[in-house]
Amino acid sequence: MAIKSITLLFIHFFISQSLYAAACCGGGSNLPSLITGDYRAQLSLAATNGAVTHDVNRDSAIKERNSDNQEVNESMVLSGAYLINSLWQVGFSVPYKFNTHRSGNLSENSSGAGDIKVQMAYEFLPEYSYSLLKPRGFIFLEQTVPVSDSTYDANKPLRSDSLGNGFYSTALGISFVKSIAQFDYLFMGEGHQSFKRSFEQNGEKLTVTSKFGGSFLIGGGWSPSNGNLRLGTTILYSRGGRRKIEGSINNISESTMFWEVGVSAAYLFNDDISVSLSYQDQTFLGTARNTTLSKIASLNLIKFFEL
Amino acid sequence: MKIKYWPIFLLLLLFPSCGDSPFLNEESPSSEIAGNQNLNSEGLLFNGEQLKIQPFWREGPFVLNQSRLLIVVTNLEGVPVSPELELNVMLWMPDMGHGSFPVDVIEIDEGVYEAKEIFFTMPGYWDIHFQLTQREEVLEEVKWPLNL
Repeated sequence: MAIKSITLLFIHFFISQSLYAAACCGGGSNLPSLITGDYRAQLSLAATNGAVTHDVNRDSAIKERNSDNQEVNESMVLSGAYLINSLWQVGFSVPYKFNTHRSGNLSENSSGAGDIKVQMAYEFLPEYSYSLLKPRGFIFLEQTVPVSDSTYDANKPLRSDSLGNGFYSTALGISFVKSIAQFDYLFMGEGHQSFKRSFEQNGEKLTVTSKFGGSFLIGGGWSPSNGNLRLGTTILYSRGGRRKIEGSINNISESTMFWEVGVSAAYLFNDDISVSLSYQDQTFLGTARNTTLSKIASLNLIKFFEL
Repeated sequence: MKIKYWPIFLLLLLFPSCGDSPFLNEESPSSEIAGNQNLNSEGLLFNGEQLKIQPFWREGPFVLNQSRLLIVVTNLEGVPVSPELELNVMLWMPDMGHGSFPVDVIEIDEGVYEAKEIFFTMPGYWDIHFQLTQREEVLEEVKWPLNL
């Protein structure tokens, strides 16, 4: 029971980390939620509140926003995963977003569905017997389907209705998890390629081609006395590729990069439901390029279904 | 001990804060605007059409709030003229690779235009593209760089 609960609580991080990406600037990560415990399926509902607090230019100069430039991005995300057999699993993620942009005398908000993600994963390194060193390994494929407006086709002046990234994107990644006594460790890495897409607004036609991007995450956790409480931390690195724009404007953008530090506390109730509270800070390490930086709080509820 | 789920669901629903966040900075902005916001008297030159344009800020430039420009188009002798092609204004962040809300350009007199609904949606380096278009095809353009 104790070992089972530790392993289960890994997934909280994966879900919360995969939620957030600056819609304006690309980047973000495509890390999916995976079933890593002895369950058939899981269903998760996550609420997030994130504020864009800093802007970073191409020279990595970071500037804090003030009361005249406020951007709050909230979301409710329903996600799930289902174990097809002992090694294969499939999953999905459907976000509903609420964006608010405020200046000194102008306020604008928008809500709607965000980009949908579907994924499949294969456990290529299963743990049939305990080993001190060998981790469990997963390889995953994730497809993002843009169902909402992006910064290229938003209709409101402050672009609060830019609820998605605007591109079909395919991510391929790998993940390792390992628990040793009261401690656990995880690594996830992914590379993603977005596909060329055309946009039109008010007669202005743009074709945007994104270059390769990727991210990786390293994390660790501690479950005191191997109980149902887990305290954890993560570090995420994300890099977004350049974009080539053709049409009314011809331009090649710069790549984007940020680091994110996260902490979380999670508790498993009744062996089938867990609640986690997490905080992610993209400003903490003070290293980024050509993007916006946010601070994000998340509350996550996960229901597990028995095999 | 079995717990009830509904208080946790209720907590999740209460988590969104209708556009507020504890992480927002409530400090007032400084009035400082970086970069060169004004052109010299030469203005910008459309080489092909042999026209010059001189933009003047009527409001702004602001981040997020609406800014307005007065644009004067002249021939090389400095006499205001209306170009045969359509004048279009487009905002673009070249480093980020995205633009902004479409700018509304109205001719208010011979060679004099007002550009309104100019929204710089975030601080940073912007290019204001002045374009001469025909049937939505850009035939010539000049850029005015701006740091906000």
